[in-house]
Amino acid sequence: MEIKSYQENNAIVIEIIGHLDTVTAPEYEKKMTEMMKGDSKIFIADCTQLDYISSSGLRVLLMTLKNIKNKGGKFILFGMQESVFEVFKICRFDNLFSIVPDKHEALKRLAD
Amino acid sequence: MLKNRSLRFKLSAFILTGTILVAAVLVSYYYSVSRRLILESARKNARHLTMETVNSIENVFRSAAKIPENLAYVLETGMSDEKGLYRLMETVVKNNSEVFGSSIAFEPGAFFPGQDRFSPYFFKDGDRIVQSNLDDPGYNYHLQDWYQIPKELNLPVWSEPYFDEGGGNIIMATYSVPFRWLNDGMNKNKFRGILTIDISLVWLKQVFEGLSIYDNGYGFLLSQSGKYLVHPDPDNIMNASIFDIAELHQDEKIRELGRKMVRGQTGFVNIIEPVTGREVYLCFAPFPSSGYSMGIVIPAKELFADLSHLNRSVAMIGVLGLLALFGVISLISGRITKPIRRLSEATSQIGQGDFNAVLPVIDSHDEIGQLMRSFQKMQTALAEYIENLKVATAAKEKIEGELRIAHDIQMGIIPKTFPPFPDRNDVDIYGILESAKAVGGDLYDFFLLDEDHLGAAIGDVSGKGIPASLFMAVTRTLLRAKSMNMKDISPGKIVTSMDTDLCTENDAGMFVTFFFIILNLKTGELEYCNAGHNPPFILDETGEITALDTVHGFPLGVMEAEPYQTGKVKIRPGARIVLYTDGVTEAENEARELFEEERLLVTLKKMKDIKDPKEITLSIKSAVKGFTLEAEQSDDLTMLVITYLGRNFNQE
Amino acid sequence: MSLKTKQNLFIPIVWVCSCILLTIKSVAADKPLTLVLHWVPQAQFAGYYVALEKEIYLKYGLDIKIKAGGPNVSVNDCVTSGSAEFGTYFLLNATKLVAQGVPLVNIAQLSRRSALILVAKKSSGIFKPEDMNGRKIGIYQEEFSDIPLAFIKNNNLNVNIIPIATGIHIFLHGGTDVTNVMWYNEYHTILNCGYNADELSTFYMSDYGFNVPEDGIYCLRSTYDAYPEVCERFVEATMEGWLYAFQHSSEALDIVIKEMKAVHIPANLAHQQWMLARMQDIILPDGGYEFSTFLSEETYEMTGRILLKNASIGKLPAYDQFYIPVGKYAEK
Repeated sequence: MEIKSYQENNAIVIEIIGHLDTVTAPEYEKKMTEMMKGDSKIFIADCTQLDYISSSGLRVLLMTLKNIKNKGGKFILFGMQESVFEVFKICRFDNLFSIVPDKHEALKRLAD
Repeated sequence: MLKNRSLRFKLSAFILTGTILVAAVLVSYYYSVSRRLILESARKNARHLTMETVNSIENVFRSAAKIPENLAYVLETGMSDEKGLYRLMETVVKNNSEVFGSSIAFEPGAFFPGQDRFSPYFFKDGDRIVQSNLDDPGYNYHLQDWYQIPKELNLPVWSEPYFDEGGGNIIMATYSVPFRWLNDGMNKNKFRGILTIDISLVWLKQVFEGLSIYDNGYGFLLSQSGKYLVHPDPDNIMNASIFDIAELHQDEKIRELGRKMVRGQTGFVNIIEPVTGREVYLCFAPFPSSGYSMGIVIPAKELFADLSHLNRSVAMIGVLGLLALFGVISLISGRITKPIRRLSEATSQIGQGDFNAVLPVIDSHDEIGQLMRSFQKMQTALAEYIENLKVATAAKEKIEGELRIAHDIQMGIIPKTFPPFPDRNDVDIYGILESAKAVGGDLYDFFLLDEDHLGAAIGDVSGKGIPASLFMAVTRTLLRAKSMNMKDISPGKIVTSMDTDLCTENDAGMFVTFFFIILNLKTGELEYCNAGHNPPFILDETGEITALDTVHGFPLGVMEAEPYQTGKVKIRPGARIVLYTDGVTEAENEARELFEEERLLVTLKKMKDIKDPKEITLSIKSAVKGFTLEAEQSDDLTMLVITYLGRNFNQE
Repeated sequence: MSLKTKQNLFIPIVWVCSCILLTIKSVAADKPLTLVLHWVPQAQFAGYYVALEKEIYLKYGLDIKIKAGGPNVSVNDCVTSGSAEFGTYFLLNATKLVAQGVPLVNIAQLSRRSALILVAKKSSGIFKPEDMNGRKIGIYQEEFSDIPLAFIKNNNLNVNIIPIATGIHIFLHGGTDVTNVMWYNEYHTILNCGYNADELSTFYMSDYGFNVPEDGIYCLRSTYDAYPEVCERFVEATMEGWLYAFQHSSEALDIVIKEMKAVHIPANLAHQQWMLARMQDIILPDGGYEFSTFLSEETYEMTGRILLKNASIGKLPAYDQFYIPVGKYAEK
């Protein structure tokens, strides 16, 4: 797994590439914790290249969501692949997270 | 061959071989050039010596030849008085030291008419001059070579040398000059007789002995017919000819040489001396007046003795030089390779695990110095790496210890006795939980709520390791507690209640997907609640597959939300409920492909008539294993299969 | 039992017996018998010297002395005067002497073929007998001249005959164009004066109808009549000497050279080697070791014809007056 991040407007865009599973979740968690230390409250997860997510992956995303919400920030996911979205649907996480089709949509959602 | 030798040996060997080659080429070139020069100079010297000898001997022969020639002139111009003739001859013998004797031999009747033979002969006997006559009846001088040959050839001739018995058995040669009538009208120009002088050839031997031709070189003299007149071997003198020697040794080259010599040729040849077998150089030249031929023999060995000596010295110097060179190369290569050898020792120490081995100190800046510094860096890095490795290994061991604990917890709380209700024939259950190496947080559980109701659950805790297994243990404990203590239970209520407890103080954000059913064993009514879990399948008694795909809410522990609802279906005896975690559908092969629901469904279709939950479970498992093959199992593989037999079904 | 071992015992007995017999019968055994050779010691006489040196004559009960010939020795004088019992002669010579009335008899004809050759240098343009026309032919006097003269006559050659006495140097110097030589002797001397055989034209008299053999053993008829058995032993012992000489050539050459040195004759090994080898060709022309000492009547007649034609003799003595087959080798 690989994680890239960049600033776009007032949001930090996180590209999650590859598998987010038991093995890679701790690395994600570590990186997120780093990013959370900054002032940014608005995060956008670019899931276009996220090929697979396991329950451990869901857990760390959930933690991110909870932490951002505790800070009063926003966390939006976009570009999710069908297989990954299926997993979200199974555990109803599609109701929990803000999931939009693309980055344009995500930025628009933030502007609202 | 060289592969196993030391660097020092190889270096020495290569340099020495090269040096020897260069030296060998130089020496052989030098040798061949020197040899040519020496040979050329020897040839000139031999030629010079030969010609000098020929000239000095020729002078004697020529001056001796003058005597009878002059005498013949005197005779031809009118001497006819016997007394005058005797006086003249006596004077000639007396006044010419080289002349041993002299005769005048006349044709029959050419001096005294009617006298067949007339040949006065004067010769030396000590200090006296003796007169005799060659008219002995047994000695027909007219048929002797000295008389006959010049007569027939009408030319003065030097005879083949001969031993003169009368003259003290010494080698002599006779010079015969024909003379003729000149002033007699009738016999004008007719052959009248032969005038001879005999000269000793003993002095020739001394001339040749006086020649200085290296240590064992020598000169020799051949007569007109190739007979040895002077030769170091006295047996050959006046006896054998060069052709006899050639014949005895069957040496054609010598015969050819002899032929050249008796034909008056000049030359310088390289031959093998037949008697001694030595290689010699031979210079030869003829004596024009007598037809004799001389040769000078130079042993090749002596000719090239100086060169051989020089060669030996050069070889000696060469050998000593090479030895010295070998020493120097050894020393230098030893010095060059010493740090390498020490480094090699140190590195082999390092190789054996002693990372603190002291590396040799090199202050040079050449390749060896660089190598040494690289090694020092490597040593440091290696030590550091090993230190890190130790830490990492310790950490790993700690993790592995944790994983073992987690595994023990997980396996300790799930029921593993099958069949679980051996005295019941309306239901059969089989379940497996195969932990992945990293230990997931899967669980399953089943229990009888009362005589007619079976509760069964499957779940997957997010995360791994001890936290996950503990969370799982909590989930299971809550399930049992809620199921036992609640009135008017339904899966929805129990799940909602569990969620409330699990959400409390859940800072780690852990959650568990959870599927819970309650099966009325009497009626086949199935109540279920799905908290974000993979929908189980029902394989009914006809083999038809339906998914319990209603999801009633988030996984447990995510957040408190609306209460979970309960779904209801009815199954008939013979139906099989297949509960599983994503460890089955998301099992990954080496190509990173997932097993997927489709493959699970294909497998289930084949299970149409199989009621034994164990067989179904193991079939699915082997289908999964058959798919993943060698790929490492990444998640727990958990299945729980319940075969509802029903009471009616059983009685049938 | 082999004959040979018997012979070993037998010989001393024979020897003793013959000594006794001869003592009674004659003076021959009292005094040594002398053989006079017709030239100086050389390999031409190897068989005699070997028979003496190897005590073959002694083995045959003979005490032989060999008198070397030479320019100053007349074989015929020695034999007729009785100072030598046996002598070697050329057949031609002996025939002439017998025709002159000398009472000689041939008791062994050793030589089987003529060794006489006329030689010319090819460079002088002589390749066949006709080429000799108008040329100088050097011819040895006396015993050697009959056949060359007959050859010249037979081929109708008009030549300038140069009588020679001493050797081949006049030929080598070009004083003569053709010379007569003996195969075993002067021919080799020419070769070893540096002329190769292929540079020479050779006319073997045997090829021109003059195959008159040379060396034979002779004695006075009276000697033979008195001691036929001694003659027989002498001939057989001599032939055994030759056999030994041919079979042990280097030893034979040593013996000959020793004899030569004893009389101060230059001993040229190469030349003697050649001579011994040619003597074998002459005595055993068919190879092998089957000796014959027989003189056929035809050969004798042929010799006579040559001599008659040259007018060297007036009348040829009868064959059986001239030749007596003596000993086992004289059988046809």
